[in-house]
Amino acid sequence: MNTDTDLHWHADDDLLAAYAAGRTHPPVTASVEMHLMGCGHCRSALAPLVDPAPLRGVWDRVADELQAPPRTRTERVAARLGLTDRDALLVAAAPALRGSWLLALLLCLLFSVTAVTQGEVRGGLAFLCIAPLLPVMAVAFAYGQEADPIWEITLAAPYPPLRLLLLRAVSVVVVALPLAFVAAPVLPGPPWIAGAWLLPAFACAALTLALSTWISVQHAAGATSSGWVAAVLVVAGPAQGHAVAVLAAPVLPVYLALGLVAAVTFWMRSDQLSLLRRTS
Amino acid sequence: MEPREVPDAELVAALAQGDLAALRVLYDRHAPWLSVRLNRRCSDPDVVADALQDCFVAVWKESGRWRGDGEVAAWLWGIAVRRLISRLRAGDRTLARLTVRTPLSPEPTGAAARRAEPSAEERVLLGIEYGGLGDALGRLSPEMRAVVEATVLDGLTSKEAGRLLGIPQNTVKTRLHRAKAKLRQDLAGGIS
Repeated sequence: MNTDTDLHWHADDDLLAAYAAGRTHPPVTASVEMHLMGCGHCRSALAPLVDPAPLRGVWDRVADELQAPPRTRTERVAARLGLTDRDALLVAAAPALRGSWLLALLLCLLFSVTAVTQGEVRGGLAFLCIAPLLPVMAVAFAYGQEADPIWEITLAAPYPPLRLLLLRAVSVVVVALPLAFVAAPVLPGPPWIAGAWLLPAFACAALTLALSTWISVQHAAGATSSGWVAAVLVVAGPAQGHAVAVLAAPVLPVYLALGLVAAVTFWMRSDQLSLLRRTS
Repeated sequence: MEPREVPDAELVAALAQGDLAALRVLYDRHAPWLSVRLNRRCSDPDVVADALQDCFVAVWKESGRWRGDGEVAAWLWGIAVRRLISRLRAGDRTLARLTVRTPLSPEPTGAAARRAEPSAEERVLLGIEYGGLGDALGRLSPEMRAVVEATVLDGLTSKEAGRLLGIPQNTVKTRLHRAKAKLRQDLAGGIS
């Protein structure tokens, strides 16, 4: 008999309207909710009483989300590392993380390694020239009109350029550094020197960033790279075997100081990282 | 319901084949009552809309988890209320958290008053007699009632109920314990 009542009783429109408007008392609300769970008839009777506008909006968003292109692997990795969807997309849109860039990076390192195995002197020179410039390339490839396929959108977006530049540069360095470490152990000299090149790398990257507040990132990277290669060649000039002297213990604090000064300069002038100035 | 309508369970099965039209039908059928019920749990319409969106995206992606027995509506509600909880947690909008659910107009007049009062059928549905559990529920403090509703009616764990209500899990347990004692006491008094 009880089940009979359950099957044939239905909430009337007034009760449903009161429930939809939030006007029912708690025991009635509970009663209606329990009934709705098992009664398709009353669920359909309730539907016309609900404001359809927000529901249409939610459906549009559901359909958008389901039909959006699936996220790329890069975006998924970036998202897992704690970036928001928006940041992940911006990181992935830099060419630095494309296959071609990775391939070039690998070739570059391969070149260093083979050079080292073929001739210690010239190979060491090649490594010293290239390895510390990896982060500089990272910065150069990470930002700017030439590097960015969605540059116009980047320009118009209300997004801090400093954040974008650092975000992308870090994403490239994270990929580039482990590869450089593979090449480092073949460097001639004491074992600690394999890690010592990180200091000039830091100084060069910081210099590039600091310069980029005056000139374009690509030009800044070019200037820094030329300076570094020239320094290596000058040191190597008189005696070819001593190129590794650019990493000698007394010089290392100089790199550190240079890098820190450049980093502070960049930090203080980061508001000069004007996007509009560079396109004009 | 018209007899020829596709049953909910078949629609859920069609989702696994990538049938977006089936999801649309499910949405039209269930989103209205889900939104009303979610609105009863959270006063911020934006959070409710987000939770509803998350719910149907989850239904689409995890339709394989539907075991094929029981009510689709109950399954949907289970997903929706948990999405609401995670939205509340993520958004950290303490103001948007569930407020005490009192009727908008506490003293309805005339015909509306009579309508808003529970009918005998409703009492039967809940297995409650007039002057029994229903009144006892009504006499609970709003805080205690919210805990009873979240745990007993919505089927949430004390942890989930705590998140929904914005209170610690232990408080949920304490309040539920007290509420049950109060209900027992009220019901015993009502019989005599």
